[in-house]
Amino acid sequence: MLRNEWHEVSDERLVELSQQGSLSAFEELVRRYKDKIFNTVFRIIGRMEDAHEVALDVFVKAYHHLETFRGDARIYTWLYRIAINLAKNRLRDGARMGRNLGVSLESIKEDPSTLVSTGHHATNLPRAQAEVRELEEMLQTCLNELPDELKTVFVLKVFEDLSYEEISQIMNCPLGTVKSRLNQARSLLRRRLTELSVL
Amino acid sequence: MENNDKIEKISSYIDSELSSEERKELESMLREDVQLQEDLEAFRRIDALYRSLEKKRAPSEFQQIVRKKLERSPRAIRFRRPGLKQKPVWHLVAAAACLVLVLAATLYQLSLFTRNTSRFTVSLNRDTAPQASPSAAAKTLSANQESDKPRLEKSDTSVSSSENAVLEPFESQPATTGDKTLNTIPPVRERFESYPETSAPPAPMEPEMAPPQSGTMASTSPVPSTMASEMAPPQSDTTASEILARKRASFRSAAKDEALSSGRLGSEEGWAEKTLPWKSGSKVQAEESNKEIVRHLEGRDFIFQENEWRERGYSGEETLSLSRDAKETSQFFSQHAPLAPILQWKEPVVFRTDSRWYRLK
Repeated sequence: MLRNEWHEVSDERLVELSQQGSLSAFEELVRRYKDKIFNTVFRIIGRMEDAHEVALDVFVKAYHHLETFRGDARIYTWLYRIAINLAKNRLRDGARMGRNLGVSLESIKEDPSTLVSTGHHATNLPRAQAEVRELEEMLQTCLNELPDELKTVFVLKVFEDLSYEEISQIMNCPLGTVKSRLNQARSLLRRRLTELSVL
Repeated sequence: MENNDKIEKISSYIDSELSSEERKELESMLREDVQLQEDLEAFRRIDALYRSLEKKRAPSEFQQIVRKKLERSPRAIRFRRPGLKQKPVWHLVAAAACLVLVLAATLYQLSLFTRNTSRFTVSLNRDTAPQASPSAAAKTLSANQESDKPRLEKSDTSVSSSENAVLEPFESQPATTGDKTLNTIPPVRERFESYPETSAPPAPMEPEMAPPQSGTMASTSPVPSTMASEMAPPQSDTTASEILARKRASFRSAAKDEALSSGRLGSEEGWAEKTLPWKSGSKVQAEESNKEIVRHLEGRDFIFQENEWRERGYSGEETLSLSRDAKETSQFFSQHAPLAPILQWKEPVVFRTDSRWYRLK
């Protein structure tokens, strides 16, 4: 079996080769970052189908605009930036079209079983698994209700474990803003999760 | 420290983003402040809850879908002269300058025309009149001419005749009336031709070095094609655009010679392909010395170079082309079964067998 010779090639080199037209080099970049991008987009949008479409668009767009990548930052921060912009656009379009991006917290407060009954995975699962699923959906719903900017910072920090510096690059905002948004996101989540007796 | 500041510090504390001094200060406050301890604990639990969530992974077919999408809409690789950075603002300024130049030239032509037509004794010889339709300015002037009908030789001239008449001063042929005033201003063609052939070419905005097949070339050439056509006098005179085209060609040729002579380009055939748009020549050389990307098959090393796999030892020899889809290729690889896996490789492959070099495309 052939060893994947791209594994040992640095991101920078892959970018250069991709810029020169190598689709294989770009595919290696896709392989490296597809899961991270997908998870980030999913956590921001909150819907699997939309996340799939947006994550695909991220890589297609990145490939077509690769020549504008100057190498000042790491390639993944650039990919995250594209992902976040596309995810925001999708959220905005969804809101404009009146699409419901999940179960509202109010409905959870009134009837926590809503999550189990609406979650397509949860109906026939054993009780313990159903509870885990319920908690997951509740956490995601709380996240969905955060303002976009706060949610994005929180996702990049908590799920992707990026530094404040990297987040400020991705979101094109000062470091102080990142700190402040992260603090606000945690404070709002704390209040919501306390109301739902999760904390 | 205010409460909000304290909570913000807690957020930074759990993210390990505080300096050592700030951390010590906060830790001393935490020892005394129970509320602050609760805040810290709550934030930690929130993070832990969210971190415990399953990481969503892209579907298994994700990469194939991306590839299909990219193959359907391949990226246009743009070429431009190495060492020059793209300056979009400069493009705009240059375009604006061209526009101003064109307007000025047009106004100048009109003013000359207006000044001279009043002194012309116009011949209304239909046989020598140009066939081209008049410009808007000419139409305006023809209306003025209507008021001068008594001065015309044929007072019952139709509108089309008067239009033909006002077009005459644009003709490159000297007027047949012998009126000296016609010779005081040289014909337009002469004025354009007086531009010296040997003078330096106009300063380029962002000269493209790509050959004409490059998609972006036409729209970003040093002198916009529209400029050449607009600068030419109406209808018949194409000399100015020819001159500009010649100058553009000579400039490109000089730039190409310069690139070839400076050693940035290995050969004339590959001069555009090797001129990468985002790097200077020196950077390209530095990159070429980077670590090789090697694929091994049957004891052979294939090195990834210029977007194809080349068996080690290949140094530009003539190759026999093989097409992946051709029947002969299948037969070839049935006779050379150990090499058959290269049929699955996505890029072209250069390999040697039976003392000959082959290029599988």
